[in-house]
Amino acid sequence: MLLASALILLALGLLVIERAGYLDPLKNLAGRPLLGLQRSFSTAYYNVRDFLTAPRNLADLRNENARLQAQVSQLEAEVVTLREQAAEQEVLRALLGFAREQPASRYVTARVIGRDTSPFLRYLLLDQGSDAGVRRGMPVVSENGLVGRISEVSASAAKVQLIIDPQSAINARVQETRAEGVLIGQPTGELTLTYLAQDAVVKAGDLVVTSGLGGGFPANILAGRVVSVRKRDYELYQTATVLPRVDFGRLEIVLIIADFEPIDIGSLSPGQPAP
Amino acid sequence: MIWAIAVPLLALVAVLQSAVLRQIEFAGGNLDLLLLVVLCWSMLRPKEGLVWAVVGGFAADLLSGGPFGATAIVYLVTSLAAGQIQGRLWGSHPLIIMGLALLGTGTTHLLGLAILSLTGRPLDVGYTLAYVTLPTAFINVAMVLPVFSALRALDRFAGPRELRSEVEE
Repeated sequence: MLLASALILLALGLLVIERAGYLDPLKNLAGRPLLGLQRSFSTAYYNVRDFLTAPRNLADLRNENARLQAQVSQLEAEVVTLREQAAEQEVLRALLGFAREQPASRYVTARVIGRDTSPFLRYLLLDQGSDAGVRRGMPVVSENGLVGRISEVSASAAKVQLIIDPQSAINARVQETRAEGVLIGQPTGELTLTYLAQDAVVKAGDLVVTSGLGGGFPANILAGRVVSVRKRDYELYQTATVLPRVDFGRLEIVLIIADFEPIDIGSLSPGQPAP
Repeated sequence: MIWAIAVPLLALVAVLQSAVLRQIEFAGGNLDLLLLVVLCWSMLRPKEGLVWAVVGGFAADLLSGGPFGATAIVYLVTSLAAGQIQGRLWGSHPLIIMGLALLGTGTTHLLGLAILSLTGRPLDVGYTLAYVTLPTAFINVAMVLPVFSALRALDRFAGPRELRSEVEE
């Protein structure tokens, strides 16, 4: 019981110290070997997944050429590697297309090496960190649109808070009608666009983009598509359910917008003294 | 011996959890292998289980966006409860192990939600319990026996249970 109490006190103490931000160097030190291991596991997992979801003709070919089993095995390994490279190239090509559409931005390409261990939180682990110029608050996108924002950075890795994390809130607008609201993550993996004015015109199928208000994200990054709208006369605002464009379960490579400086508007709050 | 086994094994399981298992969903839930490892070791060696809970919790927290230390606290409480309950019940009957996996998952998730709420990250408890905790609990119950068997083999390999005998005395 004494041991348990001591360990709980230790964990509580670390929880408090971490909240104050004093634990980052220790976390970086302890996290470094884990992240190295994470990269290997992640790559192995993607290879196995791609092999298992590969077209059936690979298996047929293997059966039909039993006498060439050894050679086929070798070819299979090569095919898996090539397919992996082809898929990666396809993603990179799409990302390049996205980057060309937004020439003003500078990007850092990062690979997804893990998901949050907590079932309640929606974060990703990326294989690029402060050594590659990644900073806290930088927006993260994929070829399909907005992914999230960098929440924590170490030298060689970073954590991204996804837009579907229940604690994520982004200023957004409906592209067609310019109606503005706040996009909030839901545990279901969907998004809710709240604070839409009652007289705003919003309908299913409308695209939702970032508005740039608040300085947390650049404007006009595609976030999702409205699937339903809830409008009740007795409520102050309308609410829309938005389906994200990004398939977060299959994200492998993302772009970090490296030249975007998030603006801290906290200093503009009424309680802050003027400098 | 305990550290030689605990640190690499739990680090490996935490990485596996983050890199692979979190991507494999069944009805909204995932297998929580790290929790099962901590829980089963706490049944086999209650005192060492506490240390495993801390090490496993910290490893999980390093790979999470949540507050550092939260998972360690949650695992510690669950490990303590598992050690106490298991010591009062009939050996390691499969039903007891499965029941503890069910209870352990529920306790872990409830405490996790409470800590997230206290640290300024409140979540929809009803939804989370129904659509995350319940499927995860079923998956954990289904998988706990193979995990327990593997750890029992490790328990035999690891040698005498010095710490456990101290607790039982």
